[in-house]
Amino acid sequence: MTKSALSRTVIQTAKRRAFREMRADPAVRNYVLICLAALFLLLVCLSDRGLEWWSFAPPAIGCLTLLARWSHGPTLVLLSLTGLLGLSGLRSVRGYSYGLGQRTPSSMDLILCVAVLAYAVGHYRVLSLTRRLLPSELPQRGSSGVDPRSVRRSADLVAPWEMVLFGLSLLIWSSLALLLWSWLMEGKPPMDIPDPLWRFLQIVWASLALLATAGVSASYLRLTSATPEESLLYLQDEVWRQTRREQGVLNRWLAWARTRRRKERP
Amino acid sequence: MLTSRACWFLFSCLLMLGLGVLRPSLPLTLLGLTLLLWFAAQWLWFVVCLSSVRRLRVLREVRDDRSPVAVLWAGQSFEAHVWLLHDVKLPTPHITAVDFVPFAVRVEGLGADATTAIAQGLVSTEEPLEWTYRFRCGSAGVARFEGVRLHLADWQGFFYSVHFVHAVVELPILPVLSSRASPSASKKRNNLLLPPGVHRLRRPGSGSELLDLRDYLPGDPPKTIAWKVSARRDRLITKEFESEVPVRCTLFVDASNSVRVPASFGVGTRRLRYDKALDRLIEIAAGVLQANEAVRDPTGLCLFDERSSRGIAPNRGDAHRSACLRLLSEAAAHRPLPWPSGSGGTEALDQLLPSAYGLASEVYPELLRPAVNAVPWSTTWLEGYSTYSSGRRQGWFELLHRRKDALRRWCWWASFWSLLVPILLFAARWTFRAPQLNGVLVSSLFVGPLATMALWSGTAFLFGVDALAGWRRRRRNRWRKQMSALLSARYGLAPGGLATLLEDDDSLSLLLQRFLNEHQMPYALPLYTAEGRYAFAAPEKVSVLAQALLRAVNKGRDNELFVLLVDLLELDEALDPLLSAVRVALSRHHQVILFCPWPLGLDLPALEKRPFRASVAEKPAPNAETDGLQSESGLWNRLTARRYRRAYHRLRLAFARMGVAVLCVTGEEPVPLILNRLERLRGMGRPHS
Repeated sequence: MTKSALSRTVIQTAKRRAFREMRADPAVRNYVLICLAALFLLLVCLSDRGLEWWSFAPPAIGCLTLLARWSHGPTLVLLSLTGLLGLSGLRSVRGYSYGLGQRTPSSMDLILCVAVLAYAVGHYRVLSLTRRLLPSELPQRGSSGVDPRSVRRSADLVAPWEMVLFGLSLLIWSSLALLLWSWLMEGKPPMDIPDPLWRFLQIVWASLALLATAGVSASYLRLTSATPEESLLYLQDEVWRQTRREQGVLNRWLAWARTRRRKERP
Repeated sequence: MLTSRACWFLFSCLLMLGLGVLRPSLPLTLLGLTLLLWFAAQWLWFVVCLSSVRRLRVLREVRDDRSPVAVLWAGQSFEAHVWLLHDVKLPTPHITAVDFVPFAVRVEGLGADATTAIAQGLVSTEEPLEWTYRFRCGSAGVARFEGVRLHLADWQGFFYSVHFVHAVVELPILPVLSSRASPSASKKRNNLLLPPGVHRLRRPGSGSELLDLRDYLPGDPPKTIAWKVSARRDRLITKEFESEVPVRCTLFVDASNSVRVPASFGVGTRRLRYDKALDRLIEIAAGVLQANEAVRDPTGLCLFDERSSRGIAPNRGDAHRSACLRLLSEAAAHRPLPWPSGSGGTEALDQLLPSAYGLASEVYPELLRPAVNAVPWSTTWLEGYSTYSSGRRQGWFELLHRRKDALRRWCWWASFWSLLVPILLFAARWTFRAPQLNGVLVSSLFVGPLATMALWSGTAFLFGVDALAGWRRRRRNRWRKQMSALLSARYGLAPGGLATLLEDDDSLSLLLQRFLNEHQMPYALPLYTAEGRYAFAAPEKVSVLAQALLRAVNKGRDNELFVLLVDLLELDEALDPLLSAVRVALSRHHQVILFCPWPLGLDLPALEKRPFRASVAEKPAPNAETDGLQSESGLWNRLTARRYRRAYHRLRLAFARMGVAVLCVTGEEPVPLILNRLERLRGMGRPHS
């Protein structure tokens, strides 16, 4: 069998499986349709930016990986988008300028954000429904003899309000991103720091501050809700970490003495 | 907590945002911000939901075909209903709940439908998560349901967490009762039916059935004279009647270490087999109990080990039977006593540590979290634990791994002295004005640093070798640290217990066995100590059994039946107390039968044509060219079988001199066959005087 025939067979098999799953589970079908719609919107947005044939690349990758249920599909789409928009960022087509000069987002930018977010979320949820929910790096253990890695999210558990929440979240997070962008654009960089670098530093520091705050809060919450066993273990670990060398030397001598005594008086 | 899926997504978003800001590109920045904001919100929501998981509770109900039960039966199938309840209004993440199935049972229907013990969904105060699965009990013992393991994830599979809801329930598994119709001890020959529990014995007594006729002796009651026969023979003839007495049976079941040792193990967690001789003995004891119960014979039970014996006096009735079965199931739940301390626990530790860590990571994931039970990288990469408690020779790599700490200390000392010696020499040179020290001073200035550098280089090389070759040891050290911390906190050794367990193999080995015993988890142990002695021989049990038998004889009436279910193979040098006790029992007209468990996988001694005289040299030599390993194991098996047959022959000889039957109990021999033999021996009514 030639390579092309083999690839055709693989694609046909994946297509058949995808259609079978779509027919069996309405939830899978809904998410797949959302993904396809999002990819279509993505195609429209990219074509609108004058990327010509290149605008087909990310949607095509998205379609193929969705069909094959490949878990790296969204990552590939995002990377291809990054490359495409990053490389063509300095071009000016049809009156749009995507370079340094553009400071006001258009409605197409908002649609682009909504489409990409919808595709990514939809694809991951389809994967949870059709392939696996729990990570593959999970060790295969289980007293019941069941491998938890093989567990998929049951399609019966997808409630109608989940779709509504999904649609609302698309609008909310895109709008919040726009607000954040406009806040970033307001300030002027001090000490003649270049504009992009200043914005980058702002984002990095804000993210780190938020991350640190959230992390500390989460760990504090966890400590306050710890069980007595966990608290005892934590305290014991702290004592051991601070005195482990001294304790180690003492216990090594004790163990040595026991072994010696045993050899002398078996 | 982040899955690889989330890591890749986060990487793409950060790349997009970074490029969008630095390049700069408005759509890329907006896209990156949108995706990152959504990701952060998802993470925050997951953390909030996670905080509510600690309030989950588990309810479990085990049912048979009709109603809930508090006792299980070996070999029977039951249904477990599990409810996961939530008390607070906070939502939970998506939950995949897996019930921790006890090691003594097996889930049914795992082949085709692999989700029987699994449920998934969201849990709220109104809607608990509920699921049902069927399981089949193994041998007698205790089924310990630990709780429910929760796999928590978001809908995208970005975040993941494991939690265990503890809800320990221990249900006794009583030994299975034989389904065979129990044979009657006495056949009904006339219309006269004996009272329950009473048997005819073919010896003179005060029964109603005629046994024999004999000449009249002075003192015989006149009513026993057979007048017609006397008239026919022209001399006085007396009738002798059969003895009709209740036969009480007392079972002496060996529960010592030697019968608790597992005979064979499988592969994988769930396929682990834990066949031990005690299971077989308990099965037989339960069968005998049932058979006696059917003819309403009083049955007693005595369990003994190396230290003590305990028992239930002969009686009958449902309550008595339940008490006996419970006692048997308790005995079956016992694992081998902790491996003898002081004989080098390292051998046991190598087998115990992986099992214990696997169990702990499944049942106590919250106690193995790095936040409360961290493993500093230096303990695995730069340090090793000592070899002082190890009684065996170590390989070169093992020695290197364990001596890394000392190696590093030597380097530091060498550096210190290489710095100090020139200073001291310099001071001596100027203090004592000794120009002859000039040469030494100059050479120490060069030789010291060079030697130190060489030592550091060599150490770095050895550390590199260990880093490449010692990943198993690093993993073992990580497991050891975490298990030591857990056991130290669990058994009240804190705060210094952790350091002690890290250095002392014997103490850690004993605690690991205790931990595994508590959770009813089967585990393998080395059968021989570092000195080459069999670790589970228990000659002390012979004296304990002899004392228990003598006590039973003292309390017994006539015609008691003592069934000894005991492993006496290779204990023929310590049999004297038991032989004396058996002699006393026989002299009181009691009967004694000995059942000895035969090792699994070995042919029965009766099947062997030349039981013990056949030498290994006479056996066909294995073909060394085909498979050396197979021939070695074959030779080992043959030698073992031969040793056991010799031991069995000696044992049989010792008891046969007194007329006591010795029977082998194998895994393949069914209980009814043994019961038949028992019935035959009981029904013979042969006086032993």
